[in-house]
Amino acid sequence: MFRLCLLIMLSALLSACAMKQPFTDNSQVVPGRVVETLSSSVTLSLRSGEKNISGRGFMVYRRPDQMRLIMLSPFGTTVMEAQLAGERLTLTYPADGVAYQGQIKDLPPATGQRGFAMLRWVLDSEPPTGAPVSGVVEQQTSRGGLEQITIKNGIVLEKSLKSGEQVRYRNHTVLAGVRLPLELQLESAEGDRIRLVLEEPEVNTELEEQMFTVPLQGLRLFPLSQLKAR
Amino acid sequence: MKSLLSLLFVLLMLTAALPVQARSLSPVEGLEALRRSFGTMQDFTADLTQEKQLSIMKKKLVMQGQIRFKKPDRFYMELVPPYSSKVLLKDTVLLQRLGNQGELQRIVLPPEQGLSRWFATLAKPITAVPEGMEVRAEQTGSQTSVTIRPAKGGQLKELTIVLHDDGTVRKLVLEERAGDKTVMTFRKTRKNVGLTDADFRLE
Repeated sequence: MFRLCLLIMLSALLSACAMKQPFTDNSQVVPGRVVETLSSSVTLSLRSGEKNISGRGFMVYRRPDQMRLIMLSPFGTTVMEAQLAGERLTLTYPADGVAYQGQIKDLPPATGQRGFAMLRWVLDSEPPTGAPVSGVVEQQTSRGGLEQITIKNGIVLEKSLKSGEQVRYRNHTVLAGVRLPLELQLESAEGDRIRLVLEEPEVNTELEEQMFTVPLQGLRLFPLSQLKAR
Repeated sequence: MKSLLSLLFVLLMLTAALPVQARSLSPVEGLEALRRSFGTMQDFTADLTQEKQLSIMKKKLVMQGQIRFKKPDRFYMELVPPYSSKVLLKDTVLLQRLGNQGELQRIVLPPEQGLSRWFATLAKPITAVPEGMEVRAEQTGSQTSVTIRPAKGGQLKELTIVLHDDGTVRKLVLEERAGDKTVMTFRKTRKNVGLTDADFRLE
């Protein structure tokens, strides 16, 4: 379960890009404009081994590194909440009355730390400077690994790492002059698959600070290092 | 989490068709009225509007759909686009599908949280408010409101059921301790219409 949460967080962050109108051509794109904020209802599906888990929720994102995601039960109550602020991660499970908070580096290695290590890499869905309009480009990531980027008509369709992680960007459209995908498909090195779909997204609207604050009252707070697979 | 889901299932069913008392109710009377009302019902259907107000959202998330229930242990909820999903509960087995083509998710609840177990419990008269629970009941015009505050420490801060004097529930409000709120409004409630197992399929 915890690995799922990490992957969901990762997928949500991946989605820092969304739009309502079907993408037709690059003429709708405003050069240099990027996603500064994003808010959207989302659906998430995970396939991990024999497990299939899916849910609906809501997320907000603000460049460069703030994100909050709420996953809901069929009746609208909160199942899980995740908040990322810089290097600090908070996970809450209201039904269990517990929350975990700490630095990303404090995540137990067996519970998906690598997923968060990938965040910056995944968020960068723009073609590299000087890349061809269509083709495959290889370059060093900021963390030192080698990544392969597949580009078509100026759109990044896929990125992969030598270590096995792969993300596919699908269903591109343009919203507020920004070109971004509505659907992201992530596959971890271990074979877990995540599908994230944005529903009714809004880009570059003003988001208040309180929207990124996770309520912890009434919850027992534990160090992130004590988190176990759920 | 699973126990909360089970509780919510039961609450949804309890609120399908409840007779309104013409007087102020004590906490025990309020709970007992809910229980007795359910005893006369074999099945029901209702249209549902679910509004979710999250602290993370500027606007409400509004979902529309329908719910069905059939004794002793069947529950079905279908939400229509743009937030389409289907949920089917057969006693302890919960099936869920998001969207029209999403993969089927299967969750098995513990036996003590199955629907049949819940309703077996409800067959017994209520003589006291459960320890730690607070109950308020009041009538305003043609509507009666029953508010339940579960024992401290859980996810739910408060549950409010609003009933009309025609014996149907009009609203169910779930308020979480974190401040998030869900409002379910029921319309076109029909009970004892002879639902069959064919009405409880998740293709």
